[in-house]
Amino acid sequence: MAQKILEVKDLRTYFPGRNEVVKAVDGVSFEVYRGETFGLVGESGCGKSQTCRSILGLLKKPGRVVGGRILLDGQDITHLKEKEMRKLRGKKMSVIFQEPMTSLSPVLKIKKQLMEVFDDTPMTKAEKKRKAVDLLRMVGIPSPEMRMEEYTFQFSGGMRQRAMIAMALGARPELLIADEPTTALDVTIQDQIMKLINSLKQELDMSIILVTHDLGVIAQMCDRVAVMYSGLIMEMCDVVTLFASPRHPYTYALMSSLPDPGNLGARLNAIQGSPPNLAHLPEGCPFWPRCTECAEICRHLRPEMTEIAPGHSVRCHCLDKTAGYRGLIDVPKAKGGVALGKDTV
Amino acid sequence: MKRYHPADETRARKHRLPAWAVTPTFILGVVIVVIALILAIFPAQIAPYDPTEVVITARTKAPSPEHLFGTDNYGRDIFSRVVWGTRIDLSIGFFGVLIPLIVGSIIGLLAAWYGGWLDSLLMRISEIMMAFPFTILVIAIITILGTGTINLFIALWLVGWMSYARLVRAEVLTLKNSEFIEAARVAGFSNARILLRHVLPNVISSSIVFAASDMVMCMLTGASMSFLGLGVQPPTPEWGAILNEGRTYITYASWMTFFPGLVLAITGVGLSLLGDSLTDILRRKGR
Amino acid sequence: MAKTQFDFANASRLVEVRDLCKWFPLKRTIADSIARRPVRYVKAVDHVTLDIFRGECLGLVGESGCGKSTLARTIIRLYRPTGGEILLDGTDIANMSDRELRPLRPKMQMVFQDPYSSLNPRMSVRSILSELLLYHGIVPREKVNDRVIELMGMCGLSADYADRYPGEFSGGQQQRVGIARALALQPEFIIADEPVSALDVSIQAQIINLLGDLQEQLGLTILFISHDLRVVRHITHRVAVMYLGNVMELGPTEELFTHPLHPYTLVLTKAAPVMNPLNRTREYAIEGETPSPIHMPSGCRFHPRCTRCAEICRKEAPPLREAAPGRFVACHRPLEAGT
Repeated sequence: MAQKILEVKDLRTYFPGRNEVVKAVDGVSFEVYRGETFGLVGESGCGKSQTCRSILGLLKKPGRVVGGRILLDGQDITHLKEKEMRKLRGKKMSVIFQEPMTSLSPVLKIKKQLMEVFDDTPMTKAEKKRKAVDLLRMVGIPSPEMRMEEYTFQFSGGMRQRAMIAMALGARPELLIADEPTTALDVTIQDQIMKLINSLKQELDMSIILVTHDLGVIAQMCDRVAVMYSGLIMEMCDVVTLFASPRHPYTYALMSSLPDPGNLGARLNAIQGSPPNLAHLPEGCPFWPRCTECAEICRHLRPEMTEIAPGHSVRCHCLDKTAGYRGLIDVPKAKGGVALGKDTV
Repeated sequence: MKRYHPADETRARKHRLPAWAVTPTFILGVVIVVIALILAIFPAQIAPYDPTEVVITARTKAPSPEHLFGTDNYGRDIFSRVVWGTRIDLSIGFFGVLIPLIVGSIIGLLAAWYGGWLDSLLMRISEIMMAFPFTILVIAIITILGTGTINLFIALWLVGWMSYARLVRAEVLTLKNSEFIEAARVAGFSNARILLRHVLPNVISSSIVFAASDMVMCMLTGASMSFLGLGVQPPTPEWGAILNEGRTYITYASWMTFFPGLVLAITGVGLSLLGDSLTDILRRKGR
Repeated sequence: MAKTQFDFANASRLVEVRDLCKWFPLKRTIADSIARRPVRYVKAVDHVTLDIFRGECLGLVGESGCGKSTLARTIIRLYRPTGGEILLDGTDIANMSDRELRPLRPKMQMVFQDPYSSLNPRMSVRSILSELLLYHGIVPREKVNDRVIELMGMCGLSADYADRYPGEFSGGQQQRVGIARALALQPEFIIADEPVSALDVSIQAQIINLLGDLQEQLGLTILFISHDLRVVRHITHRVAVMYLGNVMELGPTEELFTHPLHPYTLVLTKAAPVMNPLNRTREYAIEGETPSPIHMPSGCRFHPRCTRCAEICRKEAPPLREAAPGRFVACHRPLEAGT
């Protein structure tokens, strides 16, 4: 899986205001390989959604990419014109948003919206319709011929998300960007949608960027993960390493603040304070005011990403202190790496 | 330790007008309205002549340093009449809106809060009344009550409350199920306290903003009624009535209509600009 | 706070819910009235029976639309029940008027989900808290200010914040104000309706710790509503599982999580994503979605999605019965303990 589908280099997305600049994304670099699921995890306002919107060319005003480059399959798409971007979206990359109701049109039938996906391809109406039925069947909507004559408000939340996925996958994109695809759903439905995305990924041989705030979803879906905090990637590695031996104090703090069946009823190790305002980031490392390992240098100098092991980069000054961190899981020592949990269905 | 807190800036600006609110529109609106208010409050100091004093020797004089806006066919100084008229016209605008604002808000509040037949009844009444054009309705009511300043006010009040009732009702309906109202109910507060302390302050601002633009409407309607001879009666100086009197002489004494009309238009524009700016400020603050 | 083992045998009942129903009538069209069609209802809460012991933290879990919020709002009498009894300390409050309820209100308070919209945006923290204290005469007028500061301190808010408005706080701080408000009237019983689900992950732990500490210090009884089972397992003593307006299972938290009796409880407890990339099993995932509460399935409400569904489940609704001491389940074919 050496081939890169997407490369993001030092991306900076700012929202200039009258008196201040909100630095939503402030120097983010990562790549996504073919066939992998790449997770972006972080709290609200950490810049994970704005990173995705920058890639998709869907930034809301007054947001603007002010630096860095985005390469999709080797092609620089950073400052592509809207018209060319529109061609790429749908064909090469697609998106699923958190709230399907706002991304689907309430006044058009599902059928109409699905058939629009094929507008660029020469096809007869009947063919388009058959394709649309196939799509709905693929995402597990029962009796698709009937359901496609309905409107979105007649669909339940889970069904809407399925319809949304069907639309996103219509043109068989190579890269799917899923922005909190399960957050608005109930756990049992979330389970179904995660299962669906995983199986479709295999079937269609896609790469996925999965944006979420839920470490559980990351653990269940991703191959590699980047942990974001206030517009920066703090830690990036494969998912097993992240859960077995996190090295950034923020990652570690997030994991230890979770309730754990092992220490029921005990006080949780809460992270003090709240995330910083992106227009007034503290000097130095943005996490230092809340960090337990904070040293003098952290308050003045922003740390750089350091590769501490092949494929494991961390942005922290105190790597010697964090070496002893133990994650949520133990990895059995095995030769030739560890196999990810199989999606037993 | 320099630690940012989002509250720091909002706190500082809490009671000051934010910089973005002070637009040219806003400034122009304020200037016009302030001048109009000064005229309305101190007409005796500003007007050089008695507005009703008939001077036969000075009939239909064109504008001159003595008579800025000229004189009318009775020799009355038009400038003085316009200045004194400001008081009446602004009062029509202000009081014509104030009573509907208060009464309509209370009605809307009660209708939305208690719902049921009270709500249905009030909303049906307002729907029926809204089916008629505003001006026609005012004329109809004055025709029944008879002409005169007091009856003009009554007509404006009877017609005006509906907009406020509907506005407040809609706001209360969205607020009614919000969690802080539930919290107030869980706290066991009486309905009166919940309505006055918790609901009203959160719904009234949009009505007040609407009132600012409604004042223009009301003032113009008042002037129109007087122009038609249904409102303020001559010789009381009122802009609409002055226009009506000057109507006959428009071909050779156009100053009799031109200046009062101009003042009426400028005041209307000023109030509108101010109302628009207020709407804008409220909308952006509400975000 | 170390969740202590709760001694149910010697605990007294603070709240007893008996056969409680809350049905919302659907809007009728004129055609419906002319055709004399019967009024249809959304049965949000349908014959729920539940005891809440003094000093316990009872969890109430279920998916959206299962009626958990409606149940909470009916117990605290934001809604008037369609039927049934709510005994608070032995007094039935189900049909009391607002006026009769007023003196009882301080006994039970509520913490809301959305910390921002649960605070009046035009009142400072000080005025929110002192209004409550004065209205119910909790402390004499000259002591109100001290008490406000004390309450804020209990909830981890600096006294400097007293004159700030809700919009000037972060989400976590707003929720602390919400908790301080609930505590102002010195209640015995607090309903916390999804108190952390609107907060960021790093803030959730702070609020959960705060609730735990307060319960221990003040001996509060808490009804904790959440869809996050990890959190519920962490802080509650007992859990009630709701589905389509019914309680499906009720029992001590650990037993219920480790050995669920109801098939739905099993599905729900296994559906939350496991924090382990080496363990990606989906064997418990179920198909289908919660049916609409207007068209209730016959018999057991869960039967269309249940893997253990039998003939009797389609016909008869199973009552909530005590399957083992302290463990209640509404199922014809419950899972064996240990499955």
